[in-house]
Amino acid sequence: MSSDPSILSLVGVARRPSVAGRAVSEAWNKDEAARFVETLFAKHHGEIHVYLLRMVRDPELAADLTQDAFVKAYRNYDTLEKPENARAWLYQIAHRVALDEIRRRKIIRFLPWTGESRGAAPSAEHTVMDLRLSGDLQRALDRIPERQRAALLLAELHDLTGLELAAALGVSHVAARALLTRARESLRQALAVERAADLAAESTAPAERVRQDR
Amino acid sequence: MNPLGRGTRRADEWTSPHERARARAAQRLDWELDEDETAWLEAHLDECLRCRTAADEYSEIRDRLRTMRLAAPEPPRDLWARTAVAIEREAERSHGRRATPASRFPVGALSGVLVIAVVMGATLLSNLPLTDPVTPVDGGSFTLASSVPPTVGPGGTPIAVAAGDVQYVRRDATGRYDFNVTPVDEVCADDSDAGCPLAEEARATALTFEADPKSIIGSPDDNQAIIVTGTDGSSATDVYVMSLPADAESAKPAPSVLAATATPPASDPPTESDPPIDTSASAGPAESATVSADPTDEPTTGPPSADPTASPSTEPDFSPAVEVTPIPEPSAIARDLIVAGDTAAYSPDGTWFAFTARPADESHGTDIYVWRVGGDAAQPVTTDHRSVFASWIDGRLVGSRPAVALDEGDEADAESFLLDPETGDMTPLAGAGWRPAVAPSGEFAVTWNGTVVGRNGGRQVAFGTGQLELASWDGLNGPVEPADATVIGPDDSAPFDARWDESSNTLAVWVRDPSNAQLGRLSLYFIDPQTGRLDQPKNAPRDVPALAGFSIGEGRLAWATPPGQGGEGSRVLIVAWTDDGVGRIESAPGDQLLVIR
Repeated sequence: MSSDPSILSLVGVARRPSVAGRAVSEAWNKDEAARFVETLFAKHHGEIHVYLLRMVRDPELAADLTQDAFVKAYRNYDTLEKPENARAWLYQIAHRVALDEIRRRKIIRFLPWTGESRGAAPSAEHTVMDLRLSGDLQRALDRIPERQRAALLLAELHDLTGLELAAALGVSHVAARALLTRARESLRQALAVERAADLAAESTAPAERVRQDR
Repeated sequence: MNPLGRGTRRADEWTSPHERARARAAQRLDWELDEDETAWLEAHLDECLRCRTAADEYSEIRDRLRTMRLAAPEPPRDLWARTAVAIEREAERSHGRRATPASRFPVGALSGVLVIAVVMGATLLSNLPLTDPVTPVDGGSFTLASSVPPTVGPGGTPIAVAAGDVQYVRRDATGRYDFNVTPVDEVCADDSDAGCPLAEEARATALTFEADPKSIIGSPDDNQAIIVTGTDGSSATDVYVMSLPADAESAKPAPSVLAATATPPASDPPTESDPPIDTSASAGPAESATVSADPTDEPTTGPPSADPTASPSTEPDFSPAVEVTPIPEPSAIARDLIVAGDTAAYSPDGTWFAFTARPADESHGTDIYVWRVGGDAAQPVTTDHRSVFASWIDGRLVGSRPAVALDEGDEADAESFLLDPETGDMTPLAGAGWRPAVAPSGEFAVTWNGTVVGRNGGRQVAFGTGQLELASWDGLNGPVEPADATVIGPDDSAPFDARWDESSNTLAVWVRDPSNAQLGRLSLYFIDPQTGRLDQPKNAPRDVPALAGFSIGEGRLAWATPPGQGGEGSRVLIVAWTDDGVGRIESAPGDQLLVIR
C-alpha cells in the first residue's frame, strides 16, 4: 500500500502501524473478512483477472495473480475503511501484485504475445485468440512502461474514475493524470514502431530501388 | 471520461508549443480543457501537421483500445476454488509472514525471453523520440567510450534496397581517424527483431587531422570534400579542400563517395550539403548564422563544442592535414574565419562552393563566401556583413539577410536574394523568408517565415518570431504563394538545417536542441509533388536525436546519433526507403563520427 496518506484517504484505506499485512486488530474478524472477500470476488474477480491478464499477458500467470490479489485483500481487509471504495482498493492491490510480479520476473512484458499457455486453464486458448485481435496494439502496449500501461488500461478499459485511478496506481491525483498523458504519447510512438514492423513483415519480397522515383 | 480535473500547467512551462499541443491533445481525451487552452490547441492544430497527426492518432488509439473490451477472457472456472483454499490456508496461519504465492513458472521457460527483451528494449530506445536527451560532452568532443561493436545490431529482417553509399569519418578512442564508405544494400525494415547486421564498411582509410574536423562536405562528383576544422574552445575555423580517398584501397568500388552525401548530382538543392560548421555554429554570425546562429544562439562565444565556431583557426598551421595515405594534402581555401551555420554547399554542378563566415576577430558580421572549385581561396561575395548563404538554385546562390543592419536585440524582417557567384549580380526574392532551402526542382523551399534578431552585438542573427514552413516556389522567381505554406515545426525558433534529396520529393529537417548546439532532432518527410502535402511514412525518423550534420540523397538519409545512446559511442544511422517502406541500419560505434554531407 502506498505510504502516502493523502492517497490512502482517497479510498478510505486506513494505515495502521501494525498492519504490515497481518491481522493484528482484535476487531479483525476472520470470518467476516472471508465473507467480504468472497463477495468481492463474486463481483470483481472477472475484471481483476482481465486487468492482470492485460498486464502480464499470460493466462496462467494472470489466474495465479488474481488468486494472490484476493488473498492479499483478505489479509489486508482491515485496511479498507469504506466498503464503497472496495473496488479501487482491490485494483490497488491487484496493481501492486502485477507490478511486483513484473519487476520480479523482469520478463513478463516481453512474453511472446502469441505465447503458448502452460497448464490447462480452460480459457487459455480463447485468451490467446482474444489477445490476437489487436496484435499491433497489444504489442505496443507491451512496449510501454508498466505503470503507464496500467494507467491506460485502468482508465480506458476498467472505467476507473480519476480518484480511483490515482488510488489504484498508488500515486497522487496529479501524478496519475500526468502518467496517463505520458502513456498516450508512449503508446502512440510504440504503435508506430509496431506498425512499421508489420509493414516490413508483409513485404518480404526484395524491394526495388526506387530512389529515383521518389 | 476520466474526471481527473483540469490541467493546471501554465503555458509558459512548455518547452515548445508542440509539446504543449500534444500534451493537451492527449489530455482532452481524459478531461475537459478550459476554453483558452482549447482555443489555443485548435489554432495550433490547424496549422501544425505533425501535431494534428499526433492528435488524430491519440483518438484513434483510444478507440482501438476500447475495442479491447470485447476481448475479455473468462477466468479459469476453478479460480474461486483455488482462491478459497489459499485464503483458508492464510487464515490458518498464525501471525506470520505472508503467504507466498506458489511458484508459477519454471525460470527456464523465461530465460529465452529475456534475451529478446534486451534487444527490443535497445531498439526501442534508439527508435523512439528521445526522452532523455543525451548530453554530449562539452566541447564537442564526444567522449565515448566504447568500442566494441556488437556483431549484430537491432533491427529486423534485412530487406534489399539500392541506396547510395554513405561516407563518414570516425575517430576512435585513441584519436585516430578513418574514412569509411558504407554501401547501403540492405536495411532492416523493423526494429523489433534481432538479426539485422551492422552496416558493412566497404572501405576504411586512415586519416590524420591535425585540427579536429568539424564538418565535411562532399563534392557532387565525389572526388573531393571541404573540411571545416577547428579546435574546441576556439572560435576560428579554417576551411580546407581535400581529395577523397577515392577508390584506392577500397574494398569495393565506391562510387559515390562523398557525393552521396547529399549532393546529388542533379540537383541542387539547397542546402543539401552543408558545410561545416557545426550546427552549432551557432555562434553564427550575426546575421547569418544561417543556421545556427540563429536562434538562440547568441553567443558567438559559444564555442561550446563543436560547432560553429569551432575551431580556431589559428592553430598555427593547421595543416589540417590529412595524411591519408595516397591522398594529397589538403589545401586551405579560407583561414581565420568563423564559419557559421550548416548550409555550406557545393553548387549542383560542382563548380562552386558557398558558405557563410565572419572574421575570426569578430570585427563584423557575416558574409557569403564562395570558392571556385580548383581556385586558390574563397572570396566574400557580399559586403553588407549581415548576409548568410541559404542554398543553391541552379547556378545561383540564395542568400538571406536582415532587412536592416541589426544591433544587439534589434528585431527585423528577413529578406532573401539570388546572387550570381560569377558576376555578383543580386536579385531580390520577395517573400522568401529567411534562409530558404530550395528543392532541386525549384518547386518547394523550407524557409523561416518570421523575423530575426541581432545577437552578439549584431554580428550574429537569431530567430525572432515566426515559423518554419514548407512553401511553394517557382524556381528563380521565388515563392509562389507565401500564404500557402505548411508549418513543419517542430520548434518555432530553433536553428534548422533542411536538405532535399535529388528527387525533390524527400526532405530531411534537423532542428537544433535549445540547450545544446551540437544536438538536435531529425525528421524525414516525403512530399507529394502534386499537392505539396507532407507525409511521414511508417518507420521514417521523426524527431530522432541526431548530431548536427546529416546526409540525404540517393534513397537514404544518414546521420550520427548522440554518444551514449545504447551505452555506446555515436553511431551512424542510415535510413533507406523504397516503395515498400522505410528501413534502417547502423554502423559500429565510434568515439566521434562525422557524416560526410
